[in-house]
Amino acid sequence: MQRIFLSLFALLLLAACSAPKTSAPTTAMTNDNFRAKAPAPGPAPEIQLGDFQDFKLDNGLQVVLVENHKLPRVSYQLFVDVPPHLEGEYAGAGDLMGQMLRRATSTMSKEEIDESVDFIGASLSTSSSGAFAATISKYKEQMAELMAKVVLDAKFPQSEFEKVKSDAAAGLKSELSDPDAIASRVRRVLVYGPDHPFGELTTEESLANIDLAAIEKYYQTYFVPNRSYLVLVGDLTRAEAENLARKHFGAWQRKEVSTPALTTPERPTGVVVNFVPRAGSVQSNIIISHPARVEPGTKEAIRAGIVNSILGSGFNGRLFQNLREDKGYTYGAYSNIANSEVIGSFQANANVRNEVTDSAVTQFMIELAEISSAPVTDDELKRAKSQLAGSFGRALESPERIASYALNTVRYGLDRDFYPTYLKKVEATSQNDLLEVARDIITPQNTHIIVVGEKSVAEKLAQFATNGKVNYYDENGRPMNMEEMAAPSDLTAKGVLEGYVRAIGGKEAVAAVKSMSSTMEASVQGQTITQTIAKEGGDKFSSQTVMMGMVMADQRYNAGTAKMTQQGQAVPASPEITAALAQQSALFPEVDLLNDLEKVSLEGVETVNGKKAVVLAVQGPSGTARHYFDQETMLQIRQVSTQGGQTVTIDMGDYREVEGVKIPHLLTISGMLPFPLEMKVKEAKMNADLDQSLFTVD
Amino acid sequence: MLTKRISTMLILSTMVLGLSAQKTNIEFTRYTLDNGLKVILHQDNTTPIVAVSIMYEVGGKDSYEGRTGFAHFFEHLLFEGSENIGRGQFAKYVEDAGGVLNANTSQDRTYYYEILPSNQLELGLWLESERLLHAKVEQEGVDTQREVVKEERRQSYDNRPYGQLLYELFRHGFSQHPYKDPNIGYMEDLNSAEAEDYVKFYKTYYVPNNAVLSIAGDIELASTKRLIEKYFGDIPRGAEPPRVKVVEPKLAGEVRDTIYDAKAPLPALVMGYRTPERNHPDYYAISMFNQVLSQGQSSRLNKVLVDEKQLAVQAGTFPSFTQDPGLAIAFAILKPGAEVLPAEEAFNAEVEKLQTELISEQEFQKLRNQVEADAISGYGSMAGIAESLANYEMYQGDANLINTETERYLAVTREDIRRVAQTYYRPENRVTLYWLPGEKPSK
Repeated sequence: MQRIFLSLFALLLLAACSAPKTSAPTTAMTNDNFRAKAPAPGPAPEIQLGDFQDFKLDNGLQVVLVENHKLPRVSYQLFVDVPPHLEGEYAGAGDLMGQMLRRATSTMSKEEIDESVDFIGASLSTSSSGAFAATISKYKEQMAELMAKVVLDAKFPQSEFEKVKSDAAAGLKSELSDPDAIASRVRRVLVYGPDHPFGELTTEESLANIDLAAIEKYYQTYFVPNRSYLVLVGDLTRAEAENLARKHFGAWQRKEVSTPALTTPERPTGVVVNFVPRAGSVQSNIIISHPARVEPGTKEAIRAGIVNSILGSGFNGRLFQNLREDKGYTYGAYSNIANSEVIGSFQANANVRNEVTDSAVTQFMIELAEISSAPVTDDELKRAKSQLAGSFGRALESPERIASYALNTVRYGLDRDFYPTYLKKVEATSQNDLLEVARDIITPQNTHIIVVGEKSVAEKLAQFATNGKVNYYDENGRPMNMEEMAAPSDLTAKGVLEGYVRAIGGKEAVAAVKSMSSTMEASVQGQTITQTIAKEGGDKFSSQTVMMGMVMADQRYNAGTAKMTQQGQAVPASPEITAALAQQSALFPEVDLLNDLEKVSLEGVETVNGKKAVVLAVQGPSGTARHYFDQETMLQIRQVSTQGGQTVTIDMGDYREVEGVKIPHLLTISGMLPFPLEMKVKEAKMNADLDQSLFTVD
Repeated sequence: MLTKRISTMLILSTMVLGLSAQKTNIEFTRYTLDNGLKVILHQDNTTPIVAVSIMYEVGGKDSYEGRTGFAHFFEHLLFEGSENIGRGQFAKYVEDAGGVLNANTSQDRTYYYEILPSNQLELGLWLESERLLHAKVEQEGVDTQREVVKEERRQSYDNRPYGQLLYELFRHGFSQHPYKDPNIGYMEDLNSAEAEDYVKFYKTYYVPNNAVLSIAGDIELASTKRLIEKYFGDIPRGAEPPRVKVVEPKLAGEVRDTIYDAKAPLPALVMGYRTPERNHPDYYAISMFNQVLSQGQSSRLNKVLVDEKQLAVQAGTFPSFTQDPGLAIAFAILKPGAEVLPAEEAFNAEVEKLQTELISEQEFQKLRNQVEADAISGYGSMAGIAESLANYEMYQGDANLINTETERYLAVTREDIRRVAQTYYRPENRVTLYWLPGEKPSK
C-alpha cells in the first residue's frame, strides 16, 4: 500500500468526461420573426489561390513572381536562407549585420541611401536574412537597382558599426525590461537548449564581443545567391521580372555554404517549472512550451494548424473561452504550434494577474490534457475548417501572403499543388487525425512551464513540477540560486532503507504483515472516487476504482497472471500490464529493495515541501524511479516514477500506525491528471481475512 | 481594442499614413436611412470577402465624472450577446462562418467590424443589427468583462514601458475637456459602474442616427441595399446624442513635469503641442510639418537625434487626430546614458529652423512624393477601405475625402509649413514631459 496504482487509462477517461464545456445551451426563441435566427449563408464562393511563376538564374538564385496588377505598386523580398548555426561568443552578430546592411555601399553613405528611398516614398529594410523593399510602379526599376546595390555591394564602415552596436545595446536593454520579451527569451533557452541555434540568446556580454570582423564574416559566409530567393510581387510582368532579376542580381557570385549538424532538442522528463522573478510585476506572463517535430508542408502540419485553431486561436479557442470568457483571468490566452524543418515547438501563453497565476496554470494544464486525450467535437472541427477556409479567402487580397506560400513551395520543395489543394486537405481531416497529431505534439506531461512575474507567486507553482521544485532563471535563461546540496557523506542507500524500516515500525513488525487492505477516497471535480486495494503474500493484488457507483477500473494480479478491466471492458493482457501489476503486489516494495541493492543508488539531498529529503534512485523496468525520505523521520515522503509514459509524483503524508506498522494516510498524486489528486485512506487493515475471490483472474 | 492591442504609436502612425491619397479612385455609394443611419457601400468583386463595419460616434470623451472609460467598456460588453444571440455566441457565429471580428475605441468613436466570406454578408448585417437594436447585458457578462478590461489595462498601460504616455500627455495638456481622462478608464470607475449606467449609455449613443454602416467587398449593390433595409430600416431613431461642448482654454504657459516609470528601460522626451481638430484646414500643413520631422530615415529628427548626435534610439511625431482640438505629439526615446535636456535642445533647434527657414524645394518634393505613394498604395484591403470611408464620413462629414483629400495635401505650400510651425509649435503651447525610468525619489 506504500504504492498505489491508479489506472492511467481510467483516469484519462475520467478527465475527458468530467470537464464539460461551460457554455449554456442557447434558449430557444419563441419570436418567429427573421431576427430570431442567424440568416443562412448564400452559396459558398470559390476560393482560387493566385498562381505564381518561378525560375532560376545561373548563379543559383531562385526567383519567384506573383503578378497582381490591381494596384500600381510592387514589393521585392530577397530571402537568404542562412542555415541555423551557433554564433557562440558573438551571439547576435547576424542581427547586427542585418542592421549594418542598409548603411553603406561602395558609393553611397547611409544618408544617401535614406534620401534615395524616402524621396520616392518607398521603403527598404534589411535583416540577417535579406532585404525587403516596396514602392509604387513608376519606381520599380529604380528600387530594384537600389536594393541590389545595398545587398550585393555592402560596405561596413566602423563609424556606422559603433552606432548600430550602441542601438543594439539600447534595444537589448529595452527587451530585458519587457516581460513578454523576457518570457520569450527564457522559453527559447529552455525549449531548445542554450547549445542550439534556436536557444542561443544575444546578451550584453556577447554584444560587447561582436566586432566588425564578425559582421563581415557573417556577410561573406552566408550571403550567397545559391541559398537565396528573390520574391517579386505586384504590378510586374514575367518579362520585367526576368529582366530585373538578371540585370541586378545576375552577377552575384555563387559560393558553397556548409550546414552545421545540430542536436535535436528533446522534451523535458516530466513537467518542469521555471520562474523568472521580475520585481513589481502586476501580471504573470505564463508560457507553457516544449519542442515538437512539425515539418512545413506536411499533412501533420496542416492538422497541427487545425488543432491549434481549436485550442488557442481567436475568441472561440478553448483557452480564450476558459481563461478569459469564463474565468476573466486574462485579456487573452492563446497557443501556437510552430513548424520548422529543424525543430518545431508547441506553446500556450497568457498574461494573468498575480493572484490567479497558479489557477491559470491549472486551467492551461486541463485544456492541454483534454485536447491531447479526447477528440474535438463536431462543432469545433466544423468551425476550425471554416475558419481556415475564411482565412485563406482573406489572404487572397494580400499578394504578399500569396508570395509567402509561393516561397514555401519553392524553398521546401513542396508539391506544386500543396497550397492550391490545401483547403481540400483541411476538409478531409477527421477528428481521429487531429487526436493523433494532438497527442503527438501537445504533451502536458512533458513540458516546461515558464512564468515571468513577482517572486511571491513562484512557490505556488511547485505543485505542477514533477520534482516539486521551482527552477529560477534570470532574463538570459541562466539558472539562479540553484541550491547545490550534496548528500551527507556518512549516508548509504542501504543505511537509508534500513532507517526507513526502523521508522515504519521495525523489521519484525514488517515481517509480521502477510496481507493488507485499504479503502481510499478522492474528490475529482466534485465527484467522489473510491479505490479499494487488497494485497496478500507479496504476489496477489486487487484494486477496484469506483465513481458514481460505476466501476471505472478493476485490476488484479495473482502469481504471474494479470487481469484488467476498464469500465466493464477487458483490456487485453500485455507484458507491461503484468509487470506493472506484479510490482503493485509487493507488500513493502521499499523494504524488498534491501535484497536488490545493486539497483539502488543514493543521489543526494533535496528540499521537498520545505523538508530536507534523501533521494534514492531505483532502476526498474520502466525507467528510474526516485524515492524521497525525510532526513529527520526517515519516512518516505515522495516517490516519482514513470507510468505508462507519464511521470507521476506521489507525495505521502499523515502516517498512522496500523497493527504496529506506520502507513501514509494521505497520498497526493500529480502528473497523472492535470491537477493534483488527493487520496485519503479511510480504512486500512493488516492481516485481516481477505475475500479470496478478489484475486480471481480468470 | 478587444484582442491584441497594437501599441498606440503604431496606431497613430498608420492613421497618418492612411490619410493621404492621390489618384485614389474608390467608388462608393452613400445614403441615409429614414432613421438616420448613414450607409456607405464599396463594391469590389476581385476577392470573395466582405468587410461589414459600423462606427458609432461615441468614444472616451463621452464620459462623465466617475464614469471614465465607459465607451471602451461598452465595446467589450457589446460582444456579450443580444436578445437573439446567446451569451458569448457573437464571436462564435463569425468564426463558424470563417470570418474574423474585432473592435476598437478611440477618444472619439467606437468601431466594430467583421470580415466574412462574401456569402455571409447577411450574417454580418444581422449581427450588427442585433448589437444596435437589442444588446443584452447581464451581470455575469459585466463582471467577466470588467475583469478582462482590468487585465487589458494592466497589460497595455500599467505593466508596459511608456504605457501611460498618451494618458500623461492628455492629463497635463487638458484640465476641462474629457480628453484629460484615460480612454480605458480609471480602475475605481471600472469597479463602480452600475446596471443603470449601462442602460442609459446604450440608449443614448447606440442609436442609428449616431452610426455609420460601412461595407466594402464582394457585394452586389441592389441586394445589399435591400438587406440593409431589412435589418436596419425599422430600428427606431433615437434622440440626438449629447456632444461634448467643453472648450478647453489655452494653456497658461508651458506645462513641464517629470514622470517616473518603473517599467521604462530608457529615459524619454515626450511632448504634446495643442493643435486644432482633425477637420481644421491647418491639419494638412501640420501633417506635412510632421513628415519633415519624422517620416523616413532621412527625416530631420531621425537624421539629427538618432544618427548624427546619437542622442536617441527612436524619434517620432504625429499630428493631432482627434475630433476636438487635441495634441500633436513628439517623442524621443533616449540612448542609454543620454540626458533628456540635450535631446530637448536638439529638438527645439529643429523646430526653430522650420519656423525661420523654408524647407528646400527638394525636401518639399520628397513630401509630395510620399503623399502620392501613400495614396496609391494605401488601400489594399477591404477592411482598410471600409474603415477609412467611415472615418472620413464621421470625422469630416465627407466619405469622398478618401479620393480627394490628397488635393488638400498638395495645396499646402512651403510657407504654410513654416506658418503652422510658428503658430502652433511654440513652447507656451506645449506639454513637456521628462520620462524617467525608476521610482519617484522620496523627498
